[in-house]
Amino acid sequence: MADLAREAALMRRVAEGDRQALAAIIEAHQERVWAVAYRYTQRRADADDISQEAFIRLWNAAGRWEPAARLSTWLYRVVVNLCLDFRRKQAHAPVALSGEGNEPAICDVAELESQETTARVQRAIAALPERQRMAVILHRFEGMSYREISQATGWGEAAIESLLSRAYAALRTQLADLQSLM
Amino acid sequence: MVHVTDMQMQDHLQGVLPADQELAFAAHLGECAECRRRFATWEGLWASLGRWGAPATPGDLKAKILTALPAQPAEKKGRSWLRAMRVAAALLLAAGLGHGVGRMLWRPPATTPPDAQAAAESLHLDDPTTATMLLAALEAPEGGSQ
Repeated sequence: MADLAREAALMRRVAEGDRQALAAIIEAHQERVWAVAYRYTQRRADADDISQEAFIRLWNAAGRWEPAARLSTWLYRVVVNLCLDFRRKQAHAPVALSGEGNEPAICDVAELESQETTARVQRAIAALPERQRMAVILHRFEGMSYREISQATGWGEAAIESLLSRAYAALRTQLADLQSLM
Repeated sequence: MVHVTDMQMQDHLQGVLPADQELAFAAHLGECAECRRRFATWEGLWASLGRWGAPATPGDLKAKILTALPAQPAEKKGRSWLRAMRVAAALLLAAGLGHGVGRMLWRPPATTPPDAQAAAESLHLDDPTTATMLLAALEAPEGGSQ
């Protein structure tokens, strides 16, 4: 309750055009907002754009803010929608993978293998259908429960269970050899 | 035998399985080879996915966002506009009510023909009503009322 009250007070200041208040909110939430956008789009520039748009929406909507839910839930919802819309707009664009090819050359074999493993995981997640991908990102990487995912996405918990079940089954197949090596 | 569900396995791996269920979870895995096999698969997948570590947020993200912000929140601007509309609506309402009440309370003065003022001036009278009465008397049929 104290958190809700503190967030409501911050949002009232944001609604009055207080940039310091928004800066405090950005600091508190930017990592998770950006991480979701990045894991979904797998492009840093796209994650920047989505994060920026999410906080601009918060800035513009602060006047209508009602402290019924956590600010983080609201932000997750905006980011999820922006990601899904973004992918629809970019339907024909190729997905960039493995650090977007701008990393310096690596000579260490172990490091190279580690990067290749990460790239495999990224590719497997990128290959999932949109909603399955988002559900896995929120569940496995953001550590959200089914209920929290439901609040952030607006999808029912049964639908989330089904999405995750299919997504993890696909990932198990895709990454089967990695698992046997571990 | 009631087996452990996939969701319970996921919750255990996320560290969010309630403490009372953790005991039952561990006890069941101790006696059920099938669930141990399933759980080993989940553990493997969880660890594989965990190889994709947390990406580093760009250091200049906050600055970029603050630079891109409109000068004022759209809602604030909207609310100013809304306030102005509300004031205008209140003024219109007040004017309308005033007009309506005025019409209800207003009693027209004694009818004064349009030419009463001209008649008063031509007869050098200050009061158009007197002129109206004189005109009426002049126009009345001779012999008074019938």
